[in-house]
Amino acid sequence: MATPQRKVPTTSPYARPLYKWLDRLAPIGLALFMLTVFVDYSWWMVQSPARMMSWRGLIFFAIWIPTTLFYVIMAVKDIVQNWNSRWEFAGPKKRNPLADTIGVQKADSQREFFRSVTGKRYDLTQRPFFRWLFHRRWYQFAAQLPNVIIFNIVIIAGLIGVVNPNRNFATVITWYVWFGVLFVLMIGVGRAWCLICPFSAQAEWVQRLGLFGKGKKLLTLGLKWPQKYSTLLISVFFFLGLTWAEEFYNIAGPGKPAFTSMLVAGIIIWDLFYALTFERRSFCHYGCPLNGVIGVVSAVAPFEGFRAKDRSLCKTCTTKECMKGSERSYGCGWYEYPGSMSSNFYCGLTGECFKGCPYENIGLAVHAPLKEAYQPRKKRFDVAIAVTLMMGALFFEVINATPQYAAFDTWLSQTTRWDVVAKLLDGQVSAYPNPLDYMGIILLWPLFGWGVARLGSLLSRGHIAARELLTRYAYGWIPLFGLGILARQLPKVLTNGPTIAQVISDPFGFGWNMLGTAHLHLYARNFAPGWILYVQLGLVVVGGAASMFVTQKITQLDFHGRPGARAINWLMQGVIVLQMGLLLALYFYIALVDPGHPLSPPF
Amino acid sequence: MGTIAVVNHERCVGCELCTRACGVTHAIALNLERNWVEVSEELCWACGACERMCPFSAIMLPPWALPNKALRDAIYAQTRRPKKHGVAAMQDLEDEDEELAGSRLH
Repeated sequence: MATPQRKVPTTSPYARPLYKWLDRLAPIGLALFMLTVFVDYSWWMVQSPARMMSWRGLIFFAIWIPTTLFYVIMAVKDIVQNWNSRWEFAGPKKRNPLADTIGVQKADSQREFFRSVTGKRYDLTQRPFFRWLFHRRWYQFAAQLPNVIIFNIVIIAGLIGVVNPNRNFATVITWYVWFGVLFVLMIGVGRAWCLICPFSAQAEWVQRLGLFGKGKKLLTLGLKWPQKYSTLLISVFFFLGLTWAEEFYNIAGPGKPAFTSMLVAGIIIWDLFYALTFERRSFCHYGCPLNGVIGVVSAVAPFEGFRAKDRSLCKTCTTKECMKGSERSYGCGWYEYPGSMSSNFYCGLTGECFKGCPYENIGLAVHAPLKEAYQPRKKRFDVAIAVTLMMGALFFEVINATPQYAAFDTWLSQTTRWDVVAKLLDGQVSAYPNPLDYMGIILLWPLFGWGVARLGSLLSRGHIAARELLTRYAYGWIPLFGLGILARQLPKVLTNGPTIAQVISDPFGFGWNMLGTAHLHLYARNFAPGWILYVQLGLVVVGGAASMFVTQKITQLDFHGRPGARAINWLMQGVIVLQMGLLLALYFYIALVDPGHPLSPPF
Repeated sequence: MGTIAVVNHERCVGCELCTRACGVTHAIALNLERNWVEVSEELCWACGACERMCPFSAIMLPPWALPNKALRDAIYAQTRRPKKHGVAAMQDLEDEDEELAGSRLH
């Protein structure tokens, strides 16, 4: 939808010397912060000679020194290279006159695909501060660096720290804090985690041979990802595999923190392999286990991602700096084109398109939540299957807390001799979870979705294909899945999260007191009030109501006036209510029969 | 699979850079409803210009594809503008433009 071009000021709102020195000092400040953390940790390590002289000290310095050296050398290189460069934007290029004729005509011809944007929306880039910030090359680096440091400490803590997961930084920060914050970020902002992700950050720095500067050479083979494997389902299968491994080895606690460490290091190495082999951020599309979850749940968020403000201008742009890159920016790593974006699914918020667009035609708007779930005309079948699979995984994660499931799983493991294999694999004593019932329960949901879609197709007397119904209505499941999985994480985060205050001062459990909070006795469940269950149930109800709203909108936008649309709408609403009711009953039942379970609040 | 360019619908964003690159036979057109490009089997002569132009590798030729120069020449002979002068030549050009537009659509 073509929108009128807003007048953009050509001069900077800030004084030029201030600009220049901020660009110089901000990266230096970040590099110094990195060095300070390094020195602080090394100091505490050296202060404990018993640890220093053991294998723990060797591992600590073997990881800590090379990584810090790498970052500092790269930072110095970028700072020196860009010391006198002008990163500020010179002002937008003159608008192509063809945009008002051919451009408008072309954009209008796709009016149905882009659908007019209704309701209020506020473009953040109208504010000079955000425009200034998104033009900085170090914008993403500043967001990534703290996370990179935290997850490098996670690797070290898991390997050399104490085995007690509640005293080890690796388990506490990853599973009690990060896994809760992750879902809040997804629901609140969208792919905010991808912006600050430490795994792809490090791989991308190696690929680009720099931390934040714009280099000319890339360290990668730059292979193209094979077409036949271009699907979201790869990422979802990695997610399901990881979820199974997490349950099998109890990585998220009370298992050994070393498993968390190996998991994080494994993802970084896996990401590095992708970055050195394939072009751009292929890992984020086809390798990251969280890509599917984050992309799908982002549809709930009120942020629409970096997107063209005026599509008619993009229709006449022949240079496409947003995709190809320019002197001051890389092309979009996420394979997104702001000129035709209709959802925030793949916007990693890196801001490269914003820096690259010579017309200053990129905006970052905030609008009502849930719009990204129902508004896109282009809904994908692989995303729909992914949503049903992930819904299956969510229900498995809740069902597995019931005593009936535990009895069934034990029986199945003994019958199929899986318990013998589990012992060899060093998994849980009960051999939980048996891969057969794990996959069986998860696959029930795509089958259920397909069955409902077939029924819907019958209601339309065959006028609407089941595939189309499944593809479009599966997007209606997204809010229930997003808030349902947040509800699932809530008791664990709220009851165990406070231990972070203690662990942050003593990350390895060696008896350090770096920030003076090591003796704050905030043990697990101290902060767990009885109302967590009601917050859980409330989240599921809100998720269900949001899903019903999205389903209603999908009927209005995609199936209005088509045969059987009203009956299909009732059917799909019923499916949402059924799933919501089942989820509510399960959370309530778990809290009733097993108050000590990590999923249920303590009474 | 024929020896023509294949579009990756998951990756294609409808930027139309390949459409511009395909300047000889105009084999690529944007599907307005789905916002991805489609390649005409009759017109694609597998030159690879689209593949080189696409920044996201969303359109690719099979590895065994070789440029079909005979097809290119045949299409070019049908659609090239003859060197004529005056009003008659202008009328011919308009007719040819209509034919070319029609061939792209079908």
